[in-house]
Amino acid sequence: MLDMEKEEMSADLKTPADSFIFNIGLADAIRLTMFGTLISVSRFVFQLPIGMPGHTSVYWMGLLMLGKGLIPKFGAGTIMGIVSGVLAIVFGLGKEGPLLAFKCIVPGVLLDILAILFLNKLESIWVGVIIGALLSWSKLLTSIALGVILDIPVVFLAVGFGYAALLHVIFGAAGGVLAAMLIKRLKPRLASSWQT
Amino acid sequence: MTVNKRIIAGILLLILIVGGSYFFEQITKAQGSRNGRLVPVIQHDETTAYLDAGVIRQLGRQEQEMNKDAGETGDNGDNEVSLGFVLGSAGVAGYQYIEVSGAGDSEDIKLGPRDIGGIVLSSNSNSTFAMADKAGGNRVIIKEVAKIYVAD
Repeated sequence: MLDMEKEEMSADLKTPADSFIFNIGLADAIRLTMFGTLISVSRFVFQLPIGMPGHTSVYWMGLLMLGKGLIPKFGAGTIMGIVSGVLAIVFGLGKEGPLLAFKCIVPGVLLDILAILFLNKLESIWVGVIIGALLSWSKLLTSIALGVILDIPVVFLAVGFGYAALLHVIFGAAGGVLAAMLIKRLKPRLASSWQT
Repeated sequence: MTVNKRIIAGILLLILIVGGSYFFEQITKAQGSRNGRLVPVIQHDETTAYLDAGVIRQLGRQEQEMNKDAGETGDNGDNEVSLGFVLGSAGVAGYQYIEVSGAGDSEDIKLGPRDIGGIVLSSNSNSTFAMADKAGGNRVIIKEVAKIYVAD
């Protein structure tokens, strides 16, 4: 029994990079961390004063889907969500304080589930439209849920919800389309060089 | 199920989500207006602002600070704000009269620009707010305000 444990431990030590987290290797985990960082950085670099709710979804959901499309493993979305959520708190983005992390983690987790439902075909434009829009809407829904947790009256949260939902869906879909196009072009080129 | 079928189901879901969001907004707003928790200020048949008990408390604090800065004492309580200050904050000016409706069967009250001097709005404990006449011994005119209509 002890010998078996020792053998298992030595096998783990020989290949520590093969299954770093969620059965994802260390190299892929680092790449996903890079995508998570890009999401947070893009959010405060490209935030435009255009007064349209959800416009950040274009690059937020775009990068999230691009990361998942290039590293199609379960848990990839969650890792990017956690990294971008932690960084969003560190950068002081948003008005929700530490609860802001949920706004990043929820779309990440949902992406992992939706990718399975759509058979990981994230390079398809229509799949990109649907997943991008759903992720963006889940972000809006999380904001509403956080508002309820923070004791903001539901009636006030509901004002403009329809318009915000429509814009979130449109911008999320746009991000999904961009991601699908990039995945289609990048995936064959990276397949040979990236360890999967 | 093939990917194409899943895509069709996904698009239908998106349509449902957007439609459902608008429906949820309308239902919540209508419910909020009915029970006096979300009070619309209507001018030119358009809603120019929404008020609730939280906004009334916040405006009350702002008015007190402004009075303090101006060296005036101001006799409004902690959860009270003058109607004139609220209308000014909502961008309402140059009106002929305002018509304030209450939740339930209470009567509508018409007030001209000269009548609103002593009128205050004060927040209730159930997320609604009342209208009272400060000049008339703090008499409550409307227990739960539901709508403020501004006539030019």
